[in-house]
Amino acid sequence: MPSHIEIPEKVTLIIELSIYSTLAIGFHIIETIINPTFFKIGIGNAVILLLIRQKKIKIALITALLKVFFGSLFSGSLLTPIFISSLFASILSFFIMFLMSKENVFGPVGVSICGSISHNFVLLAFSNLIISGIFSSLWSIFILFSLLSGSITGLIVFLFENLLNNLTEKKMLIK
Amino acid sequence: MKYPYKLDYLIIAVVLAIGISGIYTKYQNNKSENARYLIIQTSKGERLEFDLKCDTILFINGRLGISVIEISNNSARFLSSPCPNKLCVKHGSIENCNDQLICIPNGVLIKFSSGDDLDALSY
Repeated sequence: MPSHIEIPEKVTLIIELSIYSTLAIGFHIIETIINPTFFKIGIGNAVILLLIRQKKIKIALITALLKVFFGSLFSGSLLTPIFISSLFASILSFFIMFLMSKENVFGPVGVSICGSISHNFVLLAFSNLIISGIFSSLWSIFILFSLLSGSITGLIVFLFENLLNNLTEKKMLIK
Repeated sequence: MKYPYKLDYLIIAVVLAIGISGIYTKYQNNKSENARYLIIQTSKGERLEFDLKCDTILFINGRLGISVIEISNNSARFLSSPCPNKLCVKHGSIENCNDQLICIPNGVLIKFSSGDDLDALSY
């Protein structure tokens, strides 16, 4: 019996992708059920931010796109303006979080706040196309809400990263 | 457990300052003006203006159905709406100039105006 089984890279990618996307979509759907309003904390984004910080960019991007697709499918807004605005918002916030995480200058809270602001501003800009004047009236409230939601998501990622680091250290000590 | 990223504190401070100053400016602008008209806009592009001196009930046709809006004592509110969550109805009434209430699912916006708004801008 071989003591070590080699798993191909593609299989590892699919396994990781299925685990992380299930977590992100699951959190997103649970949050939508609990809080159906426009103002969401975005716990599902914590998974995406964690992946970006672990430099698993490919998985993070696919997870972000799957989250938008299945989130809209679940809420019944697939291929509607809400879906299109969410898609653009997710792509922009992903790239902002990716660029900010490239160098290890900003922490998860700062990255998450900027991602949240960009996401909410795209949603607000799309809403402004339907109802003019909404952007100028609500941007200040949205920026403060982004600060709150981004901080919560960022802190969750920070705590989870510490937990993972502690577990890895313990594992190395046992070895 | 200490949070080691010092630049994040700077981001929080800047965002907080921008947000609070935005809200403060908006509040000051609203306070200094007296609302005289109620403007109703729909997603179909209709724009209606009503004098706040006349207490009345309005029936506005939106994307999902009819939104009922009440004007009384210089305030306005959604009495009923066909939207699923009724957030516009739960919000209550608006009273200050430039205050607005939006029912996004039904595509109806109500807004107070001092009547000093520009008709159009050209560049």
